[in-house]
This record gives sequence, C-alpha cells and structure tokens, in this order.
Amino acid sequence: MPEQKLGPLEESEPDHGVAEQRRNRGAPGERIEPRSLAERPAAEHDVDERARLLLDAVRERRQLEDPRVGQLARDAAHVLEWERRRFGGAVSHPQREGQRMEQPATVDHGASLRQELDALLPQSAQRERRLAASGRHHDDDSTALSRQPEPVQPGHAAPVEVRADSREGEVEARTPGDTRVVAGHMGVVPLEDGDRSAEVVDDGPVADLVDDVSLRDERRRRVAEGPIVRFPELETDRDVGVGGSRSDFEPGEIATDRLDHLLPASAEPKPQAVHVELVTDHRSETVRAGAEAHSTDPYHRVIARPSTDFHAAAAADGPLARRKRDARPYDVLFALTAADLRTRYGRGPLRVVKWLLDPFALVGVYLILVTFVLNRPGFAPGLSLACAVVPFQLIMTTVINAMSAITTRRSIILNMAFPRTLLPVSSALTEAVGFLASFSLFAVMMASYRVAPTYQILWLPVIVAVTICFAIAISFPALLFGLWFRELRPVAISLVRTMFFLGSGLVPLSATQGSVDNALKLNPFTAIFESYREVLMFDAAPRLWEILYPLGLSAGLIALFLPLYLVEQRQFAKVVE
Amino acid sequence: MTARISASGLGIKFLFDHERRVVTPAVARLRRRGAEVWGLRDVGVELRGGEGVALLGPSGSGKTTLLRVLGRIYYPDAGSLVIEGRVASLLSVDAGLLTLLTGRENAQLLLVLAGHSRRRVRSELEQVEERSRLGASFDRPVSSYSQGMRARLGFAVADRSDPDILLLDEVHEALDHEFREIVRHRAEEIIAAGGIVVAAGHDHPLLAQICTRAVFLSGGVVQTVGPFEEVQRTYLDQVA
Repeated sequence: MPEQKLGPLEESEPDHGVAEQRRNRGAPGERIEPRSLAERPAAEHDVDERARLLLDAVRERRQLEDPRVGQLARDAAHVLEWERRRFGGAVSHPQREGQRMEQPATVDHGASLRQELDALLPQSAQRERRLAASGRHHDDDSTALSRQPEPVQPGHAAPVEVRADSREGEVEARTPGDTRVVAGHMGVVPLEDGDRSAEVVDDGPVADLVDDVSLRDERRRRVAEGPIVRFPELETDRDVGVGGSRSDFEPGEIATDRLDHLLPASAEPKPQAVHVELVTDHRSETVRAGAEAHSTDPYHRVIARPSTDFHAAAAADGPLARRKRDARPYDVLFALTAADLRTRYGRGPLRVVKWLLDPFALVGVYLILVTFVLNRPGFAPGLSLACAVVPFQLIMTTVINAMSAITTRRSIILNMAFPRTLLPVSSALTEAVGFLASFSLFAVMMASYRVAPTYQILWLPVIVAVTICFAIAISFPALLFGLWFRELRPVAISLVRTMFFLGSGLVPLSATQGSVDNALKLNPFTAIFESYREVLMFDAAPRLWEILYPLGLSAGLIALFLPLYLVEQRQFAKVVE
Repeated sequence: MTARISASGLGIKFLFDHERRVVTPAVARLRRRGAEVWGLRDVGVELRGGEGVALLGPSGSGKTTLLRVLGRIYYPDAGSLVIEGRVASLLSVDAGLLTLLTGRENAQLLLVLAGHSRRRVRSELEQVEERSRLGASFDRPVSSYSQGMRARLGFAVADRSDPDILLLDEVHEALDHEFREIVRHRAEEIIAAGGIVVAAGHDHPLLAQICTRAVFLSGGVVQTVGPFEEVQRTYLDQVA
C-alpha cells in the first residue's frame, strides 16, 4: 500500500534521480556505510553548531553584497564616467578604459570558508584568551578601531584570498565585506588632503575592482579612485588590545595621525611611524617617506637672480628683454578687461546672444513708442533709433560698470599694488566689446529699410573711436561718483538715461527746429547720435562739431577728473575695506 | 645691495563720516566730519635683506595695516617709506582672487597685475598650476575653492614674481601643513638670497621658524623691536 502511493509521486515530481538511487540501493546492511570525515567531502550540515553560526553571518553578508558587486561589474561605464570627471584626461587613456573594471574573480566562498573555518576557530579562541588576559573587550580600543576602514567582527569573517592582478602577481586577502582594490604596481603615491581633490601623480596601471564593495566604502570617494588604493588588513591579533599611544618613536619620526594631510590617498590609516626626510638640492626637493620617495616637490628652486643687486640686474637687462618680461599698460588693460568681461558677462555663446539681443530689444521698445504711440513720421525710424541706442548703450553700461569697478575688484585692490588708473579705462573697454557686437543691429536695420551703405561708412571707425573716447572720459567721474556716493548710484544711472531723451535719441535733429534744435546740440549725446545718422542714413560725412564736441568734452572731463582720480585712488584700499 | 625696507614716522589715517563709513579725504572735506583714526602712528622700522621679521600684536594692533603699507596698497598719510626690492604679498585669505573666474584665469590676471607680460604669463601658467597643486580644480571657479586652496593659488602666483620681499598676513595659517612647509622653505630661500620676509599672525611657532626678529605692535604704535623670542615674551607677558 505505501509503495502504491509512492509510485505516482515519483512520476509527477522530478526528484533528480533520488528515487532511482533508492531502488538501486542494496540490502539494508549495505545501504549506509558510516564513513569518516576524511573520506568524504565536507558538507555544511557537518559543521558543528558554533561554526554554523559563524557561517550564517558570513553568508548573510554575502547575500547583501553580491548583487551590488554584480551591479558594479555590469555598470563599469558609470565608474568610468565618475573617474573621468574626477581625474579629467588623466584616466581617459583608451587602453585603460577596458581595464577599469573586471568581473569579480570567481571565488568559491563556501569552499574557502569551510577551509578557513578550521584555521579561524583556533585563532578566535586564541584572541579571546588574549583579550581576557588584557582585561579588554572587543571594542575596547576605540582608537585602534577608528583608524580602520571598517571594523571587523572577530570570528565572523574569514579572510578570502583573491588573486587580484595576475600581471603583477599581487595577492590580497580581505574579508568579504571590504573593498579590495589593488594597483598593478606600487609607484609614486598621490598626496591628498581635505582641501583638494586627489591628484594622479602616477601614470601606472589603473586599479581593478576585483572584489565586492561595501556600502560604506562605495559612499567614500576611494573606490577605484586612484592608481594606488589600498586598505590595510586588520591584524586583529596584534592590534586589538594594543593601546593608541605610541611612545617608542625615534626623533625625526612622526605619528601618522598627526600627518593626516600627508597621507597618500587611501593609504593605510593604521598608526605607524613615518620618517619624513627633506632633501634639498637647491633645484628640487624630494619628500621621502621611509625609504620610498612618494612626492617630488616642484616648488623649490633656485631663485634665478644673476645678482642680489636687483638694481644692477634690472639695469643689465636690455629694453627688449624687459619688454618681453615686464607688463606694459596695455597688458594690464587687456587682463583687466578680459577678467571683467568674464565676471560681468560670463562665458560662452550666451553672452554674445545677450549683446546682440539687448539693443534689438531696446530699439524694439522705442520703435513702438515712436511709430505707434507718438506717431512720428520720418525716414527709417528703426535705423534712426539704432543710431542712437547702440552708442548710448555703450555710455550707459560704462557708467554702470565704472561706478562699481572698485567694489567688484575689491579683493585685488586689497591684496596687491597695480596701476589703478587703468580701472575706469578697463570698464569702458569691457562694454566696448558688447558695443561692437551690437553693430549687427545696424546691418539688420539698413537691410530692413533698404538703405545701402556708401563709401561714407569709412567714417564709421572714426565715430566709433570718438564714442569710445567719450565713454572712457566719462568713466573717471562715474567711478569717483560711485566711490563717493554709493547710495546715489541709481540716481546717477537715471540722470544718464535722461540725457538720452534730452538729446536727439528718439527724434533726429533733422526733425526739430529753432531753439529746440540749439538746445539739443548742447547735449554731447546729440553729436554722437547725429554722427552715426549722417554716416549710416544720410550718406554724408559727420559734421565737424559732431566729432569735436564729444572729443573736447572728453578732454575736459579727463583734465578735470584724472588728477582728482590720481589722488583718490590712493585711498581705494581704505574705502573698499 | 640687497632688499631693504626703511620706514620712519609712518602714519596711516582712516577718516570716517558721520555715518561711520570710511571716506576719502576729498569726501571728508565735503561731508560733515566724523571720526579720524590712526591705524598706524609714528612707525619706524628698518629691515635689512636676509632677515625674516614677524609682526606680533593683538587683533586691531596694526599688523595688517603695516603690511599693506609695505605692499604699497595703502599710501602713507605721514612719514616716509623706502622699499627696495620686488614685493609679493599674500595679505588676505581670498588672495586677491575673483571668485567668478577660474584658478587659471585668476592666475593670468594676477600675474599680469604683478608686472609680467602676457607672453611671459602664458609660459608660467603651467608652473603655477603645478605649484598650486590644485589639479583639476585649477580650471574651476575659485568660488568652489576652500580657503586653503585659495591661499595656495595666491601663494603660487605671488611667488612667481620672484620676490625680494614677501609679505604674509595670517593667510599662511589657512594653509595645510604640507603647504606651510613649502611656504616656510620658500621664505627661507628668499631670506637666504638677501630678501626680506615679513609675516604677521598668531601662529607663533610657525613665525618662529621663519623669523628671527619681531615687531610688537599695539594700537598702531610699535612697542618693541628685537629678537623674536624676546619680543614674543614681551607680547605674551602684556597679554597675560
């Protein structure tokens, strides 16, 4: 009866040959022969209870870690991208990229654990005895533990040996929960401190990730981050129970916990004595740690001075050598302007777009005002407005820039002496770049109104130069005004804007008559606006007063304000403090 | 002839308006008069080449003001000052850097302002990058730098001007130990070559490594000038 019930079960459920084995078993006496442990392979159920508990802890850790290791191995690309961002071109060598990540080495953890278990258990017992003898607990030495990348639970994890890099034959042993990243060779170690990112100073083979990565280590930046990344093996037998203080240093030796900034990236945080030797040969200095040089200092050098008498040395240089070596005013002007352009307008194509669109937007607003609101008739109103708006924008932005020129350059003014007279000029030149970029508005407007350029356009550079001269001249009083009356800066901007409307900004001079015409001519902006209209709209050369009046006024402004500026610029550092 | 700094009767005056803002003399004449404070008064020091001098004193004693005068950032309002030698200064933690610019752009600007031609600057940028040890951060905006990184870049730029006189104002205290060693070595090189290093700060052990003499300032007035240890003792006794 029982056999009849077993029949269908054997057919319906695959038993992987167990039933067949049962049927082929011999007599009851022959079926099970007790064998010694040495005669058959070890199985998990053969491990005693204490060992089983240890194995369970390890297995649980493996189950947590293995999927992530697999993910890391599959997603090598994201590690590469991370590396590329971190080190720039230093790790983007095409031959390396394929080597960045390797599949985890196939390790039979179960077999290894079983093999290591026998060795571990006596060690654990030995450690327990030592702890008991020293009167400590496992976590008593917090100093020692804090230096370890991850506390190892004694007895919970047996070291698993993994051959990490067969090329170099380096063998690393590690507990399953720890990172195991090794380098192909031990060359120069990069220095790292908290203030800066690690540098790749070694161009050697790139580290391979060969074992699993714990969550904690992944959050760190030290997973495969440098050519040499190593974590120490916790020598539990030696370190547990050893006090944190070390008084057996020789003179010249420094405890590494006081040299955190000198630690190589991910170097062994285990406390140890490092002998730091400074060797100076007047050309280069090598910092040696122990016997192995780990950093070549490029900083120190011979002070290249032919003579300690610098006056004689300066006199000995020819004028050509000095010209190549020393900055001239236009060098300073160029540097200040370039820095100001980046500071005020940023980088990239967007700033050009801003320069191009700004005058278009302004002309669009004024065009609507003139043609629709005021309903003013006239020839090519858009072009007429452009002839006023484009140069006016240069003056306006120069005034704004100059008024804040001291505060925006505060850090330079407080740290070094330089020709501060060039600051207002630099403000004007910064805005002149945008001014020239907005000339595209002229082209668009001339095309829109079918106004063809004539040879009179050759006057354009002259009137542009006059405009820039006026902008430079007005930048001196603008800077001083911004310095003296900071709270009145918006008022000054409004006053300059008013000058646009009190000139021939909206309505060209040809459309006005009588006393209004004469009054408008007093405004220097009128002369500038009209000169552009003469050249671009009316096929005529600019009138003499349109050139001379702004130039004369510029000269007057410079004559009046430059001496005052030269006196006041001595106080800039005090005022911006 | 080596580097030399000679100051006598040196005075720096700060003018305040009635709203207690620092104003220039021109504005002070226009506005209702406020206070007048002397940051330095009757300061006389004679520094010869081949020595490091520390400026000691409590906060507000005039150390930074004196360094700025020596760096020609402040113009003396009284007295006379003779400076012979090329001066490089690192007088603030931001080291003269513009935060919106990258380290490279700042180095370009500061080197030109320090008197290098643009052609020379192009050839020196690589060395500044190497010496500042900023790595990839050299091409990132300075706003992303720590104070130590800024000080390192500032020092690397300042040192490129091959100074005869080096002025350091507490910024070296923002540096990490590694770079402090570099600063110390560089200072020793300058002193050995007949230059002058003037350093102010409160890290006396570091100052003692660089400086053999010290000037004790208090209230903008020089109290003591002499060997470092003696002046330090005087200062500390007075503080205690």
